[in-house]
Amino acid sequence: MNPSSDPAPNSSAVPNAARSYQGRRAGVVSRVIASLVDLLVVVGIIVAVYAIWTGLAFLLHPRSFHFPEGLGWSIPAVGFVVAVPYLTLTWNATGRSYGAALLGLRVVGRNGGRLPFIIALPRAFLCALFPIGLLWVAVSPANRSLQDILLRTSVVYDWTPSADAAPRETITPVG
Amino acid sequence: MDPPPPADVDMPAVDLVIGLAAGALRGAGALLYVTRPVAVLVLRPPLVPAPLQPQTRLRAIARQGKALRERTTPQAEAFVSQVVEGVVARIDFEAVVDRIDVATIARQVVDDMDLPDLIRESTGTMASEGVVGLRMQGIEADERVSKIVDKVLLRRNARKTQVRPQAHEPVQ
Repeated sequence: MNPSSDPAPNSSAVPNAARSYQGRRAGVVSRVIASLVDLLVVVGIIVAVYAIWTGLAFLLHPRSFHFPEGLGWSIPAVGFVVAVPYLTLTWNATGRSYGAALLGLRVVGRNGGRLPFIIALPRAFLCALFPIGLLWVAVSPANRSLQDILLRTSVVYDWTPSADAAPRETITPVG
Repeated sequence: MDPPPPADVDMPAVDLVIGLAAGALRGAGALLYVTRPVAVLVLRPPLVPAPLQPQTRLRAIARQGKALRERTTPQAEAFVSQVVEGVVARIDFEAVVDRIDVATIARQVVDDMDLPDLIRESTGTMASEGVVGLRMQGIEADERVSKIVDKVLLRRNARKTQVRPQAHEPVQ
């Protein structure tokens, strides 16, 4: 690893080895893992919706009940409908979805501040619609996905627990 | 002629004491082994009727001692209890406590405890070891992938991963 020699955020909750990375844009591996965790969350929500749906159907019409068939394209559609508000609300509220919180990442705006709703919504839409754009992080010289480039957002390492701690304390000024 | 060897000054006192004690125990064991037949002979001399043997007399004395101990123990306990109660009643504990700077002691104890660290550990604010390991491995993997890609793309400059704040906004 080649961490920067810049001063790290003075947070005792962050181990020494990780301090120099705080506030820097995360790489592709961490972000892909976080996204996979979020995908699992969305799948879990879909399964829960499906279970509630079938349970209600059974309770209301027990004689004519049968499991829904031919879900087909409704699953990705429901996934899209679930994922967009889930990502929008979590990014806007704390800057991190469950996967990002697990991996110690935070989505920040142009200046490293909290992501406004007006940016969080299209970002969530783009991420759900074109998730492959995340892989551009591996190629980008600034560790940015296509969505980040379009909306001028960043995903940074931020292990501090507080929702407001990251944006201003962890970002090191350039120049 | 060879000079005499230097005195061994590096002789741990504890080892010396242990060695002496072990020797003394061995000697006592040997002494007991030797004197035991003599003691038996003295306490139970042959051809002497049992009531007249010294061992019988000693046992009678021991029984008397035991009876005396059982009789006097409750009285002694009651006496000690009365003495302690009297002493405790005479002590002004409030005055004693007033003389102790409890606040300073408490402050010192709290300072020594490193309370923030204790609270952080107990409340789980700090990520668990598993999560920290996962994050660190993620960072290492990010670095490796970046290096490989940069090498493949013949990129010479390091990645710019810092987030640039606006010029007119001071960073705290």
